Amino acid sequence: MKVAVIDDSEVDRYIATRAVRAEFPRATIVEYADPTEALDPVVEAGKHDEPFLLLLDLNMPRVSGFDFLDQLRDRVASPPVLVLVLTSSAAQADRDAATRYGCVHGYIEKPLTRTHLRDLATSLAL
Amino acid sequence: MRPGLGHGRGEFHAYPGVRLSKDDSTARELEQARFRTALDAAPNAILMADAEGAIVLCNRHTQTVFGHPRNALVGQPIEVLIPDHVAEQHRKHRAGYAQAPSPRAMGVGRELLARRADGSLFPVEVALQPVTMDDGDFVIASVVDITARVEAQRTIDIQRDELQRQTRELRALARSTSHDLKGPLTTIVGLASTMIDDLESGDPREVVRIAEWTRTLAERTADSVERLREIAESSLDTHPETEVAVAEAIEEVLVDLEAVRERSGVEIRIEIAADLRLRTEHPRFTSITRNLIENALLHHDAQPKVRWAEISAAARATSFRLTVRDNGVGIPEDRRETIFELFERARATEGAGVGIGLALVRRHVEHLGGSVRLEAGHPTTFVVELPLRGGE
Repeated sequence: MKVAVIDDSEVDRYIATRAVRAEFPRATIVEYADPTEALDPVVEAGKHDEPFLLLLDLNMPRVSGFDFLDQLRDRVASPPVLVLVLTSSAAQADRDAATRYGCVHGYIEKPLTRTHLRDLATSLAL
Repeated sequence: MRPGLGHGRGEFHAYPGVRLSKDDSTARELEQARFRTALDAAPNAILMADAEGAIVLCNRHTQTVFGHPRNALVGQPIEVLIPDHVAEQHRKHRAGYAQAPSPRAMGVGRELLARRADGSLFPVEVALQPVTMDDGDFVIASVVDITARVEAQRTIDIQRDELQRQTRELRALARSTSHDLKGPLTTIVGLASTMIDDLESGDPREVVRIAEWTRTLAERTADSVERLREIAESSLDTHPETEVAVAEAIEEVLVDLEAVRERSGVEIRIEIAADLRLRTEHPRFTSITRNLIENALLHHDAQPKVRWAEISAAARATSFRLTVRDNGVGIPEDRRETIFELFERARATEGAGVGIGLALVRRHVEHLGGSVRLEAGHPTTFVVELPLRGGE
């Protein structure tokens, strides 16, 4: 399993990475501070059979999480990745907007914990 | 009909309590005296005009209100009390009123102006009352000078607008505060959970590093809260305007920021005439310059060997202009507008501000009646224009 953490905050990437490593010890984890740098690898990796989990922050300067999802959709009609949106915003509007993307599996209020990932694994029967 | 006094077609009765006989001339004189006294005691200007609009009678208060000697008005057209630009219109209205007279307020829904003897204009309320007497049809006008009321209303309107503005600002502030301060706090919660994991699993190697992050974040959050208080107060507080020696004021700010400057390695250049003075609210001016300069110092570029920030100020024809430039990381073109919004940052540089400084600058500048803009993203160039006030 591959996991990409896209977040402009180094500390938040660290927290997410630690949770992933604890829950999925065999996963390969890559971090991106700039969403645009994640586009190519995500599109490429999605072509393989290996499950690809994307932990995406919404509130980033310049290119937001929603911008990234738009750009990804422009590149691939239905991106073969599983996206978990991570945000400190509890705004219902953000939640609704996020779930309108087919590839978005869930919406998580930060901080990401092992419990979130365990629930995800259960729901996907990983 | 009561001789010599008459009554209106409406509900007008001069003094309904007095009964008269036709020959009782003493009683009649007495009654006329009472009538005059009552008329003069009225707190309003009361005038009576005939069908042609000539003034036939006015009370004592008319003199106070309009400044014309009382006797000088009798025989004059009523239009002498009306501003020139509406006199012609008034004549037409008067003719129309004579066709269908009724007791009513004049010019309902409009602001009526009257003219004093010295030509000055003032707001009035006028009530009209048609009366028919033995010698013809007349109109009695009761005029109230409402200058004080209009001014009071204007003051209330200004205060109401200001209160609405403050409420809007504070509401926006409360919204963004709850939204954006939550970010670092959730991160702190995440870090704490990670530390607990590490301690429980008996692997404390990372704990010190995580604890340091936690402390830094908590400190920055506390700093944000403090500066948000400054923003909230910037909407409310007004300081007296004083003469500010610009070069000196900026020098003081630089002394305060010396530690930040030293860490950043930024070289500061100043181009300000030593005698340049500005009449303004000193604390706001200090906050504006401090935040712009601090901004220039924090967002320095890791690459260039020579890092500089340049501060210049000059008085122009009608405005004072302050420019702060730096060769730091720059601001992307598309952030030119949003960069001044609360909690907006141009780049994700850890430790380099949380997006309050420029929002505060804009609030201060607008409060002073000026403007601030990002003139160029690279080198980052902020331009503040403040109005030049009297005394310079």
